Amino acid sequence: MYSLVKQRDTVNKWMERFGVRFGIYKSGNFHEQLFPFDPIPRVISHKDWVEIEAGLIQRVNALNMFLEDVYNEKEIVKEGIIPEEFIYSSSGYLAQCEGVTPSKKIFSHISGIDLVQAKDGKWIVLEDNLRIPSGASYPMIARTVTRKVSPETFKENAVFDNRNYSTLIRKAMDYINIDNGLEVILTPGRYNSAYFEHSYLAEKAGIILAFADDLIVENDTVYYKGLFDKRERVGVIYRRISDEYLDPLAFESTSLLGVPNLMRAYAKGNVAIMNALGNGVADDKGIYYFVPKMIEFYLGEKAILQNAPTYLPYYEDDKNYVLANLKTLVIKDVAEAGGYGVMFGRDMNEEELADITRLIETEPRRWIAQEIIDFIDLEIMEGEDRVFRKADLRAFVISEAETKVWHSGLTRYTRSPTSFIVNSSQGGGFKDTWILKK
Amino acid sequence: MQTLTTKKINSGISSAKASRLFWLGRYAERVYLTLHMLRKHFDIMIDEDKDSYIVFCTKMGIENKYRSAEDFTKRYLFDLSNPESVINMLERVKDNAMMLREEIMTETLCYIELSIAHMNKPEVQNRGIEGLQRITDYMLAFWGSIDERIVNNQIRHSIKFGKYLESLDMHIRFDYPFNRIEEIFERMLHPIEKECYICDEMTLVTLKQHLTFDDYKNIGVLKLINTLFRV
Repeated sequence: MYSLVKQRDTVNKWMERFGVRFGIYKSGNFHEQLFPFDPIPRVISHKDWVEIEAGLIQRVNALNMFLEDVYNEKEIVKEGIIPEEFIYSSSGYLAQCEGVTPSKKIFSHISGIDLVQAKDGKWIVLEDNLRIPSGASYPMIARTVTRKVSPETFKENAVFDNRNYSTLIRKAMDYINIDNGLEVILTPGRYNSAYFEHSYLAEKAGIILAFADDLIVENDTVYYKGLFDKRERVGVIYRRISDEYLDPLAFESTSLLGVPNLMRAYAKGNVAIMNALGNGVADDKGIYYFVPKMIEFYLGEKAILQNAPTYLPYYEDDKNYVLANLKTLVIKDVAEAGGYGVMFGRDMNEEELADITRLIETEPRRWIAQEIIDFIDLEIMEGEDRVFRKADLRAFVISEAETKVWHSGLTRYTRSPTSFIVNSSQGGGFKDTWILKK
Repeated sequence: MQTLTTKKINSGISSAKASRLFWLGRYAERVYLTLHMLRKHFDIMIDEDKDSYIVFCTKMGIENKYRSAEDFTKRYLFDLSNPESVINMLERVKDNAMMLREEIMTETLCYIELSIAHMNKPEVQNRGIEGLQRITDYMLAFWGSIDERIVNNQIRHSIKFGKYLESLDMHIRFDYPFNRIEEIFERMLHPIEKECYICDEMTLVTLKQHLTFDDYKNIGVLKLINTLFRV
């Protein structure tokens, strides 16, 4: 590991050579920048990983069952486990998906589950990302580079290889493919913040990278438009476009990123879409509160991985507690993502506290509040110094015939000594994540 | 051992992708040949004609908006806000290459990344054209990587068509002798014969008629060359 620190300039040159970037919009302008990489990996012991893996499989299986239930029988609502307004008022719920069952009944094929490790060593789930979780390509390419630069590091440490992520994705696509059609990654284009990932995964998985204009729906079937009107049937689309922009005839009518009538083809079962449409209802920050209850309801098991202590102002008792303890809690807007809409009560002035109090009282469903988890700091290099910064872990769970956890993950860290927000869009960096074999 | 399907191989390419492949080849060759032609003009500027850059501009068909040879060196090579500059040509190569990563591979794309990073170094900009030999080396490596790594003939031929078409255009502009033009034309025919869909056949026939010793420098020939590609 010391060798990696010593050779970090070489590592960074390789990253630059491979164009490891992410895009960011600032004041309406697109900027592309190198994603800061820290050479010291996050190391997860085999013992810890066994528990994390079991907990993630359990959680994602329950979330998939929830999605099938919520768009069909709604047993979980009928049983009073989740209030129905939590389903129907969720911005991720899509009425168009009612009664639609995706290929092989899988909704979330790639789930990005964000975890942190508390100072007592426990792993806690902070967030589920079941729509288009991104970030796996970064540790994948980082491993490719670090193995080149410091082979001895990997001789000395028994670490699971993580360069198989693209194979896992391809197998998941093969599994749900309709009529052995073409497999494509649908990207919104070069100016998307995660475009590097779209193109890199397409390359490594051997999948066509398609743009909206490359696809057409005819007779409720999706085709890839070849030269001179040649058509090739598409069997599965790994879409990297949000639900609302995916089909201008079904959702946002001004979208130029989507494919007209895609929803019809999907609803008729003529194409598989990965991840399924409508998954946003399950990764809503409000629904997160109910995931341990979902696990009990669908699987009859206690959750292996715990949530952060969370309060829903929707419930009167919780609201009273939140309003009385605002200064010690973190408040999250359920409609926001990417580190936006996250407010720490301790950092708010009196005016801001008054504003948030009013908003919680008038729109209780819009907010959740959580105890601040004092999660562990990881060592990172800042110039020549080793410093400690907050970091989370995004684990990737792949659902096909079986549910599998990728033996790695994206560790994101904050570069500010006082911040808890690790998102790349907020200036954070990333580390490789090592899972030890024994 | 379970193997993955290879459905993608031999699958068709979309019109937009064919266009990107062609323009990738054109812009990459333009970078390479522009540097080649520039070196000749910079050599002339040493002790023969200090304004040879004006001749260069005329041959390239670009406006001479430069105040001096120094201004030309700085702005034509390195100024990103100048749409005709070499750094801008490289950005256009990158635009297309990034959209084609899954076809040309990261190992090929990286020569463009390296070129842009090199050109943006202040110490390289201070050295002028002499500092850009490495770009030429990278472009040669880029073409080697295209040949070595792209197994799909349709993809490789589409890029090569763009490359040789640009080469033909540039060599005619810079008054290369007819036998050289004939050689390049022959090389361009190879990808066209393999992938006839990318070339307008009628235009090709007309071009062949005009590509003669007496007629090849006619402006109409350049127009024909620039309408050969069709998707």
